[in-house]
Amino acid sequence: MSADKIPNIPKTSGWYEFVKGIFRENPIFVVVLGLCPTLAVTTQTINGLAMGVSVIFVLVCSNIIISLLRNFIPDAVRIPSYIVVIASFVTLISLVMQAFTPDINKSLGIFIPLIVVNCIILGRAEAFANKNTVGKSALDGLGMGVGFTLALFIIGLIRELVGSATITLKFAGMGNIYNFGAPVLGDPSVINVAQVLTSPAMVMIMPPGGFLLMGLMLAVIKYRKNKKEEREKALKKMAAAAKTANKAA
Amino acid sequence: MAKAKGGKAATAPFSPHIHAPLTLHRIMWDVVIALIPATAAAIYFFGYNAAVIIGMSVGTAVITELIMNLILKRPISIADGSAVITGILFAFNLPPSSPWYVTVFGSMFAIAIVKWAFGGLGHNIMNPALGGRIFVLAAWSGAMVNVWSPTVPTMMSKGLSFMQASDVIIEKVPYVTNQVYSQISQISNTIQTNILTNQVKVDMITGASPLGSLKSMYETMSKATNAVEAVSHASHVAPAMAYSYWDLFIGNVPGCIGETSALAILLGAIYLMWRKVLIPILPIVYIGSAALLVWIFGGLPMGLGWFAGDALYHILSGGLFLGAFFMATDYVTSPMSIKGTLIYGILLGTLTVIIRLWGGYPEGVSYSIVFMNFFVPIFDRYLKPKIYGKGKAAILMKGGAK
Repeated sequence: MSADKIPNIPKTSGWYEFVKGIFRENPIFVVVLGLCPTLAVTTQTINGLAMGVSVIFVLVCSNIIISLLRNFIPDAVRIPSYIVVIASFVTLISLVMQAFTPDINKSLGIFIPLIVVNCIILGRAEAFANKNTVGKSALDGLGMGVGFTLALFIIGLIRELVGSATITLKFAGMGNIYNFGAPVLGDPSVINVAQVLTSPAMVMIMPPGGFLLMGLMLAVIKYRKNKKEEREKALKKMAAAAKTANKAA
Repeated sequence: MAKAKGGKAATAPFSPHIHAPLTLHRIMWDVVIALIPATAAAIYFFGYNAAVIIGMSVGTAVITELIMNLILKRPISIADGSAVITGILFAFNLPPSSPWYVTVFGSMFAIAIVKWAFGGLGHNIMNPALGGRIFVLAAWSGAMVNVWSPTVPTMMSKGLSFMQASDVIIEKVPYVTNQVYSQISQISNTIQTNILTNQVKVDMITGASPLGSLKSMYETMSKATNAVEAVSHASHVAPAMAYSYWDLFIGNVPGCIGETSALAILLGAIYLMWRKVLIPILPIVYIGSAALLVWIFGGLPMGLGWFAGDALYHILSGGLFLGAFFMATDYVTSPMSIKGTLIYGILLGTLTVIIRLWGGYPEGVSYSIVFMNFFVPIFDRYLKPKIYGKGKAAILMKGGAK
């Protein structure tokens, strides 16, 4: 029962809720949630994008519904209730993908149904949607989803380029495969851009490559964050020192 | 033996300390000296390109070490020799025809990721050289598997010069010759002898490594339904069966450039033992347990029953000697206590034999060492040597520090 729940609405704008998911609280690179689909599906650029778009859809819809129902769902059964809401949308997107993009559905495989238990979606429902208004929840879901998609797109791009020397942007028969390795002839959708990566490192499209790249990217982001914090600390210290010096003067 | 645990040793708080003449630098450069015979053997058996691979690998390793030092703002550590060792050992694990990107990126991976991403010397979770090997094996398996060519001396005995034979190995020049192998004496195996004495002819030596040919032999045995089929299946692996124990011992067999010569590796190991850098318990336990298990189980995949394996063939081929003497004994990634060392060695031997006889790869030394490296902290934690060489009770009775 949420009658005794204190409405905890911080004073933030919708724009803030949208942008925070993309950079400051990026679900993959900063919060490090939902690594399972991230590492599993990013063997091709388009797979990462498709996964991201499905997650955006599920995240926005489930955030809206859960935010609407936030005063009706009893606390004790909130997790099963969230799962029911999320699972409905996942079933929806799963059926749509099976019908219209069978190729991508095939390569994403089990990871589409597994969106149901994706930490990001459940996490946003639990941490945000159940105590915020509908509009903010929708924007939060959209921002988080876009951040997730961006991360998957970058990881998929790097992994595919290094691992198989191609960039696949072929969606439901449209788009092209950009080839940077040994030229492929006879397939009209393949564009041979340049012949620079003739011996791609296969390991990058295998699970170890995913972990390696993820680890390196997290390390770089953490390093930059630490640096920034140190700089801020130093600035604060300097300001404090200047203040005391002023007072003394 | 004192464990040179890098940064940890420098902060060891308990006194009194015994000053030992065994410094990190001395140990590392001793190991480099001990690797010289194997390097010479590599160049002798695999031509000038072996020297190119080793040089490229060492150069990349040292430059990567320097770059990582600068990025991480650590003292420059290229002089301690550990990067040189990693470079040499990584090159020893490469086939003689490996392209430049395999050498360079593998060496870079070994130093930058396996060693420095975990905190540098003393903190690496696995042997850097083997980490590099496993990376390139996964990344460019086409350049790492089934690329074995015959050795330079073999080709020189057919009339090629040293440089020509080296060019053959890196596939600049085709090498075609007719060979008839009718005498198969060294495999104590009646089935194989039957097959191979059917005057198997080969047109070209593409050469499988000794273990690779054994592996395809196992597969042939399990697939063939009759003798004729077995002969046709086995014909392409026949030449590799002609390696004598002597060839295996001196290293005149196809394989990775530094691993084939047991003789050269033993020479280096004896030097290390003389310098008291290496205590040969682990190598002996490792090779011994592998030999014992091959003897017991080695005949099973060929349908010969128990206790029929050719242990000598197995321990002399592949990277077992190199792995046992120079990689498994890496100070950082081997257990500290004697008890731990014994268990570690036996498990290494067991894993190697399991992979060789029943696994998907012909060789299991690198995977078994890396796999067991992860368990070393557990060994060190639960198999601590007794304090002052006595039991817990004695220390408690004396009221010793605990």
